[in-house]
Amino acid sequence: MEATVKQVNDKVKASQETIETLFREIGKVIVGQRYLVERLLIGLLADGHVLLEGVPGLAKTMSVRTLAHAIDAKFQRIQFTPDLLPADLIGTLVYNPKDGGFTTKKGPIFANIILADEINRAPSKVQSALLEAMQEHQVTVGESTFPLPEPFMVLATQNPIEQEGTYPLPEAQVDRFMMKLIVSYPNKKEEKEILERMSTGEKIEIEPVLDPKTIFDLRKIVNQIYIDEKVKDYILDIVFATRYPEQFKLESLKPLIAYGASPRASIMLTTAAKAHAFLRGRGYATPEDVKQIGLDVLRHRVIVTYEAEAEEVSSEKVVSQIFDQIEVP
Amino acid sequence: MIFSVRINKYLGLILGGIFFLHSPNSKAETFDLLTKVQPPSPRIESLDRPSSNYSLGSVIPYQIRVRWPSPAIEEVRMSSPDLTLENLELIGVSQETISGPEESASTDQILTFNFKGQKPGLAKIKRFTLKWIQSDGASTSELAIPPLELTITQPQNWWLIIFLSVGGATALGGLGFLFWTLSQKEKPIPQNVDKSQEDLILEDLSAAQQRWETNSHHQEFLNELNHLIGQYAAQKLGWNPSQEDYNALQKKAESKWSKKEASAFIELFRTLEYERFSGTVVEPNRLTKLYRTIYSFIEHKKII
Repeated sequence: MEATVKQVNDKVKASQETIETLFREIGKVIVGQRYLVERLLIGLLADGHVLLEGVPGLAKTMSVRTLAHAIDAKFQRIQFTPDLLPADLIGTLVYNPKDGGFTTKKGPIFANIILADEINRAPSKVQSALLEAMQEHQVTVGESTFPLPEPFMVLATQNPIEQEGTYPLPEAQVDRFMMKLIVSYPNKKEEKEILERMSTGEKIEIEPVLDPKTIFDLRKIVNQIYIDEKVKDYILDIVFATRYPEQFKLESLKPLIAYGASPRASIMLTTAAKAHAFLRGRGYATPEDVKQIGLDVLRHRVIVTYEAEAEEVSSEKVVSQIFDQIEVP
Repeated sequence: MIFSVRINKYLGLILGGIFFLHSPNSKAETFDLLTKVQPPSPRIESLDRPSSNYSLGSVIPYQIRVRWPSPAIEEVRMSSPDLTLENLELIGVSQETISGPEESASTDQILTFNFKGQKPGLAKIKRFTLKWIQSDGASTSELAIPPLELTITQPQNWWLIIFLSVGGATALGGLGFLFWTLSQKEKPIPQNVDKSQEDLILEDLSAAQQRWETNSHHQEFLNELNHLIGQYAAQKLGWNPSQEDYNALQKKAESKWSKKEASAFIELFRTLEYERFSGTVVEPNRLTKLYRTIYSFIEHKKII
């Protein structure tokens, strides 16, 4: 194991230059938003999907598109509307009158990176079709099953402002997203740079610095990253605290939590912590990685009660309180 | 010669008798002298003087013991003495007669004069005379009693004294207890009186190192080092490891120390992380080096 840990460490350190190059390339278009870009990369490296929430105009779509171009991946943006059909997403069979047969026309979901814009505006049928594809990495059209290209990553956005005529994602389906990111406004300095860059009308070209094969290799390294028993126990303590807060001296949270995080949360938190450690140039995950990524992984998995909503206690506050209480190893 | 003295003696008596018989009153007086009984003569046997200080309102006794040749006292009566007093008043006189042994043929008369002071200050009993008169009214015997001076003082209110004493003692005891309590509260915890935060952590570090040298539990030692340096960061920089990450720690360190020191401090945490979570086999010499680095950093930061 000593040799393996050292080898992984070496591989991670060797990959850092590649990662920094990627960030620099993305930084040509996206000003600031380091947190967003980093999390997107974590999702990509950990083979997870990401839910983005933020007001319009925060460069959510641009960030995803830029990332896709930087890793030379096929990018597809799908605008979800109330009249969208599953076939519009995954594809359908088209009748060919020449031979009387049906051919499969693949839908826009056949891409490496999918941006499902305003996912909460499409009906449940469409959401289910997408989420099934996310889970299985394949779609079935007619009698044929088609695998989705790898790497495959879905970035879904939700508009927190316009809630009329929307179909909120069910909790069970929200659970399939590895992270939920809250995108915030840039600071003044960043926004000044944005308007200087974007107001000239010049289009900034992005050069691919990685390819999907490299992403696969990086994913393999991430999967090899060492995670100590103490860190695993820390993760489990946090997840169990969302289910049984009274066992962790958080009795005050018990009436506020309807449902705690599922075992999928433990898996997601572990893989995300490993990806975070990779981005930090380490071949091992630490409690610090768990703390950094924990809120993003858990905020959409803890369901609060009506009582919590009435008291304006969000799931974020609950998760933050859990992290404050659980002793760091 | 002897014959001549005897003759002279007898001749003197004869001549004295002839002379006496020829004086005009001598005969009566002689008759009186020959027929009258001699009056008794008392004497002061003892004087029981009062003490020099008496409080206002208390009885001041003055006791005189007079010895009479018995049975003379039965034939005399005492007249009221003429007392000259200053700041005193006579409140009573008592008398007691005690017969002596048969062979002494005397009687003791014990006279007790009781006085009272009139006001605080000097009081006097001037010389006075005790007189006894014969039963036929003729003055017979006198005895001079010497004068006396004493001081009358303000009376002691014993209840007030007791109350004040108890109250005073209680107050003193309460004050003493209060001062003791305050001194206990103000007294700092002994181990911190002379020791800084750094000193305490350095002591704990040394103790942890000694335990490690004894039991060689590397992970336990690493956990202790991590705990102590985290405690140091919390005390010196206000860093909370549960709520804040190393970025926050670095910012706090840079606000108080130089950039170089802050970086060195964060590096300690990173090194500890590596030893604790990387899965590598812990080497004792690396641990020793890490311990020394942590120790010297904290010692270097100690404010003397």
